[in-house]
Amino acid sequence: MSLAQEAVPKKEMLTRSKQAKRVLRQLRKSPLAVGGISIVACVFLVALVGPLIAPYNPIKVDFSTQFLGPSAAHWFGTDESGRDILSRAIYGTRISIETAAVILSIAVSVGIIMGSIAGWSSGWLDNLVMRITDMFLAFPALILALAFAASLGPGLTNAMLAISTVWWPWYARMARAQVLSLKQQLYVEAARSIGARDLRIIVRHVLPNALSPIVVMMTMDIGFTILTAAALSFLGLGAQPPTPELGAMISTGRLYILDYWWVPTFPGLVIFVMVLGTNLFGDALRDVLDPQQRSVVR
Amino acid sequence: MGRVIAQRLIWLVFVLVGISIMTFVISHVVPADPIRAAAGFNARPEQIENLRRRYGMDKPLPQQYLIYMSNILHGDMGTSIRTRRPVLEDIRQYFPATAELTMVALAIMLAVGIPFGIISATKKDKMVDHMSRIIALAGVSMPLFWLGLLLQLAIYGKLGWLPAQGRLDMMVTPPDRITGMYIIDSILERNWDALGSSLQHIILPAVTLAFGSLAVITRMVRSSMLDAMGQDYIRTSRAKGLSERRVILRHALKNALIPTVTLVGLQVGYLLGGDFLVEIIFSWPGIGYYAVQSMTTIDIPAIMGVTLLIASIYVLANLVTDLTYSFLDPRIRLE
Repeated sequence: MSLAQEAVPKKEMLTRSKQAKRVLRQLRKSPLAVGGISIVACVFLVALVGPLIAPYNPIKVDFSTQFLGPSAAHWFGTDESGRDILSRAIYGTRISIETAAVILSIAVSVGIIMGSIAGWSSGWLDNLVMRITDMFLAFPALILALAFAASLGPGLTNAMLAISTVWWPWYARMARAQVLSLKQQLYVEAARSIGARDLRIIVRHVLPNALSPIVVMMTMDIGFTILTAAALSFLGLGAQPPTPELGAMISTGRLYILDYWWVPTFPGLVIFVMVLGTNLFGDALRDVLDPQQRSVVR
Repeated sequence: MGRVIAQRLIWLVFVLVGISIMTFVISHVVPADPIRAAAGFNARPEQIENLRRRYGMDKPLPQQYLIYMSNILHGDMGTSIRTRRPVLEDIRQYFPATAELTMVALAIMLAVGIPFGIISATKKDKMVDHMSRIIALAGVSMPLFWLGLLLQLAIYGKLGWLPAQGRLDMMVTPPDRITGMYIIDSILERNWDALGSSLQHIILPAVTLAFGSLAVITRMVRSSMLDAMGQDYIRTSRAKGLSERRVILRHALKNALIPTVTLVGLQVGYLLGGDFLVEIIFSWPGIGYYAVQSMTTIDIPAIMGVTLLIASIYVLANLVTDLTYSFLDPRIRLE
């Protein structure tokens, strides 16, 4: 961590566009990164134009087409209500991406705000915020999210809220560490000496320089949030049927695994590919932006 | 050492109080009304009121919380709204199955993960190493519950090698309850039928549960092995003519295992989370199975009980990890 922070001033000398170009150039060199980015791009594209390319209505029940195996007409087959699994999976990627985006936006904004307050103020406020994060981190995230989701009652919105609640402390930690080290920088002192207000210093001078490890952490978290949200839906605490959410699809489909294998298999495959893509991308981005941070697996 | 343990135990109390307050507040400010749900559709208002009074839910929130906590100190975790039995009794019934499953998964994780890590490190950038990286990446990218289903489909459905549901064959009489863990109980009672059947039943869920962590452990052992192999003492032991095998196992591995131990503590939390998913898929009657049933019915006393139980296990597991850590590496002193 400390090494990563020492590297910050050097980066500041590069202008933003130069830095972006350097990142792209380095990413292009790694085949795994290119693979990851291609997968992520495809998934985003599918999610974006989903309704246009989905061959069938994802929630219309038609028992005459129940449990059809994969074929030219239904690439992923049909489920117990005769719905086209490919179409549902296409809508599912959309939901997964939206879910991850909502969770991470909440977690990152709350985390950055709390972390900046803690790091900037130090003293008792810092202590309080850090002890709260300790409390969250002293607990397996999935189970805490499950307990919150269960207390809030089933539903996708509640699930997102529950996951965000357990996710922000990681970002608070990281933001605090960044703010603490950047606080000592000369340019921050300079800004303060010409009379800039705290908020302005934090927003204009500190946060922009604290972003790269946070961005790396975010990309690596996309996969985890997708998996966690899917797990909650699988357990019946997230999206409810007939919503074409991938975890919920596996949950209903698991009853038919032995007779109609494709019903839960394809939604799971879609999650797998999606998460694999974001993990590859996150790993590669980390190598470029923040080499000292540890990889998901390495 | 004693002081460290005492400090951690005090911290555990803080964590439990914090977690219980959070869960308590969240569960009591939401619109979902567990009492109304438990009373059924046709309940009259006074019946609902009676029920509410029986569960102490007619009092102000802070008072409810204090009552709950003081009951816990007296060994009473409340009564489950769904099973209508004391939560503690439910936990006692369901927990051994989870403990058994988690320990077997942990054993698989270490028994497979450490050798694979060593092989990957000694054959760095060879085929084996690349394979282990790919498997590791797949392991963390795969939904656990989906992997479980695929194993059921392949190993049980297509090949018929192993059973996919429950803890025992229906034809086998379960061993008398001593620890509640079938493998141990059946050995103690020399009930070999039950032992065989319970071993067969535990393989698929345990492998599923171990898979994600296995990947993480393998990579961790690999990277700390590589660190250790670059040290001077390895060069020295090679120079004095020790066999490569001895250099790797006696000198490099021993040092490489230290950071791995920390990771094991963290993985316990991951495994406990995984239990919730795996137990549902394999109909494994453990605490995860119980908790999920309680969660979908908003059974607050049960949810609170399980949450507190798991928080305690997790904090204790990390304490044990830290103690092992300082035992393995005398340079580290816990303060």
